[in-house]
Amino acid sequence: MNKLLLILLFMAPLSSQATIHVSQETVQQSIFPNQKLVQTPVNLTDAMREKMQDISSVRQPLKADRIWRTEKGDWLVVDEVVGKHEMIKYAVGINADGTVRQVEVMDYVESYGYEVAEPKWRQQFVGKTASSTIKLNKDIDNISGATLSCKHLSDGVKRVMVMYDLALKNYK
Amino acid sequence: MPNLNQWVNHQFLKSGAVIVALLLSQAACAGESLFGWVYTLDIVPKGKYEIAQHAQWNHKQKGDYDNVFLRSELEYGLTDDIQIAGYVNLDYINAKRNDRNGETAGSKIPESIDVTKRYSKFRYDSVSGELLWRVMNPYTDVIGVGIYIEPTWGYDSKALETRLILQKNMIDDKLVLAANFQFETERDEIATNSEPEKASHFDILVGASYRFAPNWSAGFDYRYHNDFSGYFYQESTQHAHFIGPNIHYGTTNWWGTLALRHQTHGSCHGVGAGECADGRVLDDHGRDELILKVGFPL
Repeated sequence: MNKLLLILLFMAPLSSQATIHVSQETVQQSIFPNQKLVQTPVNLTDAMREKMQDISSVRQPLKADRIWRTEKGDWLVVDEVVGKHEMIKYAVGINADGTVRQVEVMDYVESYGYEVAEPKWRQQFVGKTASSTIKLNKDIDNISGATLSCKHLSDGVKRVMVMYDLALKNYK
Repeated sequence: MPNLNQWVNHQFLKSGAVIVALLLSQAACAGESLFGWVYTLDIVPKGKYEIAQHAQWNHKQKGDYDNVFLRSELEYGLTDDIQIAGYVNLDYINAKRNDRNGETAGSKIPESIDVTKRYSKFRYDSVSGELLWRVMNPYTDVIGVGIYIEPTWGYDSKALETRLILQKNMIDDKLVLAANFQFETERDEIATNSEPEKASHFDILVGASYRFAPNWSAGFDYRYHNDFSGYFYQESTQHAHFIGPNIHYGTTNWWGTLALRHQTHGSCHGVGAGECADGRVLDDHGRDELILKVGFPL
């Protein structure tokens, strides 16, 4: 045994955490099974983006080219919000009537808080509309150890719904 | 540094503390620290453990001076807002003619040594406990507020440290601003050898850290340090300013933080007047102080 070994003993991790990676195709099939989705980029004006940020408080820019539409007029939006270490990628399915159909977590690479991907937590968003509060600790419950992820995902879903209200609702 | 054979003969091995230290290292680490010295309110989730290893290197006084302070920490989330922890602390010192008079002396150096020669020692230092109560959460409240208590029972000192922790997050929580108001009362038995030194400290620590890329954050740590004689801040003996950069990397199964602070200015007063040289506080401080923290969620 030498000093190097002792240092390694002090530094050696005993555990590693898992990660969540769900493909675009899997998410599409999960939210809109057997439906054809057409990529439908939208133009978001500065005024729209400003309003989205004011209402949701999310500053991370939304990429408006990750939007798909079904033949029935439903929408699928893929977005990212800031996680503890890396970006959290998620998808929001919106029914043609403007209610949240389903939220899916696509990429999650963090030490804690994998419960955000569980159906029980995501179910809280189902049925919400652009006028719903969608705020952590108000109409969305927190998960111990994942406050930042829960907060940012809630704000992110709110932002997507505000965007729906501004740019998708009356899409021709 | 002494080799392992020297360690075996050392008192901290006899005390059994090394067993605890190695168990902690095996179990692998602590709440993720963006800063070197400023504490934040990022605590371990309820029912979870983390392990961290800290190593602080205080370098350079008037002469040769290197002090490495090692802390092995196990943290546990007692509730959603209360974290407890235990530490085992080890200490290495190597000094020669480091004080203002060109003698080998200081708060961790016995008076009984030959002050013209080098003093080098690696030893068990202390054990500490920790309780951190997050009163307001920086992620969901307008500002984060926490109270921190850390008693230490040492080989030659006993101390009680308390901190008021403030934290403000901005820009999607990528920018973290934090401040600590630290109060500490200490009984140090090696400082005078003949009579224990009773001291108290008041520090203000301020830091900013920005996540400039996924996994990576960087910023600065600042410390305004004040020492007093007596348990209750009876007489100011020294104050000093430290500032320097920090960088942090965090991922799913480990994190690391490296920070450096430079003592820009220090002054001594009253009974502590002899602990300064060249406009800096010596005592157990360095001109430059480096800290490395590595943590592992379990």
